[in-house]
Amino acid sequence: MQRYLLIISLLLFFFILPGCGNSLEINETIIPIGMGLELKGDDKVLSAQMASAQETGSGEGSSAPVLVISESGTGTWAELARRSSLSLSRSPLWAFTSSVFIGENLARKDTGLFVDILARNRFIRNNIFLFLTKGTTPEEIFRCKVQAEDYSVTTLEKTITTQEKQIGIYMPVYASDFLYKSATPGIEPVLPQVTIDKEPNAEQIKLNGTAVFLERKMVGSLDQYESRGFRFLSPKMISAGLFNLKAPEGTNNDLADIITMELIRSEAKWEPVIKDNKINIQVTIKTEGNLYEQNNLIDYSTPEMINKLEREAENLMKNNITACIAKAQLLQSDIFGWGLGIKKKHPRLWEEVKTDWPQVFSRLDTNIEVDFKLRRSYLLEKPFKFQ
Amino acid sequence: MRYLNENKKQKNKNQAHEIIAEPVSVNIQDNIDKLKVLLDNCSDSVIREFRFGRQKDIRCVLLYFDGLVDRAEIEENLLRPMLLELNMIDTQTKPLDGQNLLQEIQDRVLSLAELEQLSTLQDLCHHINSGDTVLLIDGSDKGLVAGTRFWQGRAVESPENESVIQGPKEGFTETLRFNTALLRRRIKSTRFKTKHLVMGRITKTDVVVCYIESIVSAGLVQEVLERLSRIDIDGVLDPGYLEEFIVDTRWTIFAQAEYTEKPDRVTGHLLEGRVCIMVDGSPMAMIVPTSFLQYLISGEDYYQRFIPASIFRVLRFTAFFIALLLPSLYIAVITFHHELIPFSLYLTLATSREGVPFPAFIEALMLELTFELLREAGLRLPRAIGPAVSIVGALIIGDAAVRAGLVSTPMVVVVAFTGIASFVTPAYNAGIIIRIARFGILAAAALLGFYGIIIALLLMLTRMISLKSFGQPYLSPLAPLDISRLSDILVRRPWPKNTLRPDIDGMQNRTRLKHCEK
Repeated sequence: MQRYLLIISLLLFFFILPGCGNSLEINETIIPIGMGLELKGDDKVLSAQMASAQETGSGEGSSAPVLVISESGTGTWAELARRSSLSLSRSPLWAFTSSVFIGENLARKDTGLFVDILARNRFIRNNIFLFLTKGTTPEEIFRCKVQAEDYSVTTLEKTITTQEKQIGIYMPVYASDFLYKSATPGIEPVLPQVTIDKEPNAEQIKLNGTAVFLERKMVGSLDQYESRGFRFLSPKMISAGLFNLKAPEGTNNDLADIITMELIRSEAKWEPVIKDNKINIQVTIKTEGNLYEQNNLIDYSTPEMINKLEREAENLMKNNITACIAKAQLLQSDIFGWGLGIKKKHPRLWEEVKTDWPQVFSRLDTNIEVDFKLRRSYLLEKPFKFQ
Repeated sequence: MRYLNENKKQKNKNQAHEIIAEPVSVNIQDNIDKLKVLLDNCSDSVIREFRFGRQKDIRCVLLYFDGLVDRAEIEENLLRPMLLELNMIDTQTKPLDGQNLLQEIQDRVLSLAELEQLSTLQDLCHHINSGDTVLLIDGSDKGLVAGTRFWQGRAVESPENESVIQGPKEGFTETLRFNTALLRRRIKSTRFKTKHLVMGRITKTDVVVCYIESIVSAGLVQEVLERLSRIDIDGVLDPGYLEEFIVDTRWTIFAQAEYTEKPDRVTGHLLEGRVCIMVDGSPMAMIVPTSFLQYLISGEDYYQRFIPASIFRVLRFTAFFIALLLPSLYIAVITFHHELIPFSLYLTLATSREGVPFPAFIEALMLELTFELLREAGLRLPRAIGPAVSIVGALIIGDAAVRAGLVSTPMVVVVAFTGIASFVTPAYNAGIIIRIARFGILAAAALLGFYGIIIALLLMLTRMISLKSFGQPYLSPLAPLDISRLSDILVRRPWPKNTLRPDIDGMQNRTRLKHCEK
């Protein structure tokens, strides 16, 4: 008898302990797929793009009306998010948020204003995308009509992953990356920028440049060539992308003297070399690529020509990389994590330079070596021949 | 008058009760009178009196129940020799009367295979009831019992509930003797024992306990017989009557005996040292001891090559978990753990849930109940209207209810998928466990989400671990863990590697495979 009482009371404990208040029917919820944080004057503005169940489903060509909420005030972001329940009948499931858009005003003011919600809030995942809205606000991005998808947020998420396989300019930044780089000395975070192209008859959202941060503030941007250079310098293996070369030994016809190279794989390695009390960063990049398209009809399949093509490709990559480094040094922001590398390799040296690292970084000498290998020309060895 | 009648009946009953215990009398008239009292109102009994012998003119009587005997055989081999060929007995050398005469008849006259002399009315009656014929002659205090059992029974067919693609298709019938014959045909060894018991005070049902002497643990057989002997019931119609008496734990939903209609499956179990109990009048064979994992194994696995068999076994285990957990997981996810669902799936689910008036739990409960109802109805319905039920089920549940907005489409899919998965379990009584447990887990999931599911599963596991079937742990070989046996449970071990029988306590001989070539 006592045994049974024990079992029953244990059972009751199991069920009472956690309470059962947090059950929520799926049709009483709404999904914010993107969250936007921005400043407007002295007010914080929290906006969100909502996916609503009623509108999707039956396709029939009708695009879903986009539901955007926007709350402004002086409270915290979480409070602003909760404030949305004053006008919204359904509970937003913030865990579904897959991108957070940081407004340019906020980023230029202070990143310390929003890192806490990214780091602390249990509904914000670590692996969501972060974007920076350049010259526009998150709310405008959310309200923007897009093609092929229902929501601008999903469009941008898919764009940033697709472009890396197709053209290879930007790299996605996840919340965890951003937080890690913000919290680590010797490396600064970047964010991909989103802009709205105002064309005569339609607006189009677009990835455009990379925002560079320095000590809690956004200080400037990389353009697309510098962004590509930044990608070439990425410490992880990159494995897709296209870039154009000026054809060597060309026909002096600008329209025709273009060659497109496809990147198969590229890996950047760098190390700090200390010589004569000066830090020199040695960058070596090993790249393999394919000849993807040529618009003049010159035969590039001879060994000399291949060699020339490879040198040309190396030059182009070097140019992009140098431009990127120059911009970063101009902004004094160590987005490559060289300070971190020095800290690991030469901890004593790091102790000396870490206080004025941005200044030291801006004066660093670099030595870039690119080794490009042309691997394939897609079976068309000889150029096309008219006869 | 009514009272008088009652009294008379009472008296008659008492009289019958007393008479049956008496021995056979030397005087045949006495015996006939007594038997007539015993067989009063038994319209199917036949009492045939005749006389034989030219010189002696001895009275005889033949007793049997019509329909249980082979009448042609009685006429040919019993009545005919008695009436015509008795003269062949050499009456000169031996004085023939009473006991001698009966012995002489058994020895020299009757051309029947089974003959036996019995001396109490009770034994005689038991044999008549079983389809034997009893011959009484004047002057003998014994009756001669002739084995003339024959009745119309179902032929050996392939069992409907346990169909297989590959392997033997024979199934047991309602006649115990055929069933033991089916087993004996597969085990041609005198070590295959069929221990006979009679159970049921009134029905006097034949029960047979089968085992292979050189393999089975002697203690196990002893224990089975001991537990069976404790049962004092008026009738036994199916081994299912016995299960609740002989299992270790009664208050549980977990089946502790396995039932099958297939002699090959029984043989397989006997070869693994288990004991099979069969009851006359039922085609089901009960096998003890069992472990839970055994229910998820189909005998067919052992007839197929081990690679496909192992894959299908894994599939079956998966189906078991789907049947047990899928509705609960679905409920838990859509009411508690929304963030586990991918975004686009969430939109689809939410869209279909839109406008459904019930909470997801009630919705699931309704559909599950409907499914169980349909399933139960399908069992009982006459064949002719069976398809009607499935049409009604498919139309009403699958289509109309969704269109009316009473239930959501994903829920229908989930319940239907669960239903299909629950049919994968080979053993019917294990399927019942899943069906019952599913509702409990569903309620726990609706209350607490995954936490509730885990609690429910833990409770279930705790209960299962506490069970024992004739000393064998119910979850063996999982708990206590036995890796070597587990390799023939989760997957099917190749036969050449299957050198040992699964270990049951006290098993005498575990060698299954000798001289294995590599």
